[in-house]
Amino acid sequence: MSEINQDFIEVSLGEITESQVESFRAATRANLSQIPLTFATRFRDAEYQWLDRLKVDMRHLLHADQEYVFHRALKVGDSISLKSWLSDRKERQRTGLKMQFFKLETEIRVGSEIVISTATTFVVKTPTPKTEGGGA
Amino acid sequence: MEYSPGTQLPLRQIGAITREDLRAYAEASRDMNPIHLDDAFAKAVGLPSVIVHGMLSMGIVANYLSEIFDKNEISRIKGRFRHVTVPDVPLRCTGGVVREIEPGRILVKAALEDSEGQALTQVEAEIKIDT
Repeated sequence: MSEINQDFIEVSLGEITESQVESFRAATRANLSQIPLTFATRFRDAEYQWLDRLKVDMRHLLHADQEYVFHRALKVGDSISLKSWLSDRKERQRTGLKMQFFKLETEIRVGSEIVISTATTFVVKTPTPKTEGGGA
Repeated sequence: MEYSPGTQLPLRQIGAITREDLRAYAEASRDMNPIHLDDAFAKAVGLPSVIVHGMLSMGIVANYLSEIFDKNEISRIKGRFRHVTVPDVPLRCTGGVVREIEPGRILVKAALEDSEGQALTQVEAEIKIDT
């Protein structure tokens, strides 16, 4: 099992291009000269590797919340790398439903500089067979 | 603009998000999850239809804030995906100043709402302002 805050997945991505930014502006209806704040959602490669490692059933995956802390604005030409880790996991059982919560944190870097810190909470809701006598 | 607690941000009508919008966002964001693109797949996993990417909803609200606070630096945003958003329903952005966190920094909350005023995605933002 992956340890909280101890195992890391690192991924190197390419440079941010003007074309990527233009497509993202159009798709999010942005009337902005700067790169939209949530452009960083393009950089989920390390999170997807985590979900694979955690054997998450993607059919039951929901995105519960998303946080970004901005240390500096992204620029076209920035060459992005990611360092991501599991920072929390919880499980709750309800009648007929198992709910698993995974919190993943990621440093989005340009070279050695952390430009954005992110925290993502995913919920996996898996139906479970009902047991005699009901559940908690 | 006045940044005191309780100040309401201008309401913005967003209109509906179409399936074509979801396809464009999927490509722009690299999120090709079929629950946003394939109605049959979405229904098979218990959804009413394809649903809007939570991050598209959050992106629209973040852009709304960036455009209103275009002279200020937004240092943190957090989105909570409260309710599933389906395509083809009218949406709007609303928001307001909640409080001063410390001199020069305020907390703002905004949301993507349906026409009934139900907040589908809520976003809080910390914004640096001149004092």
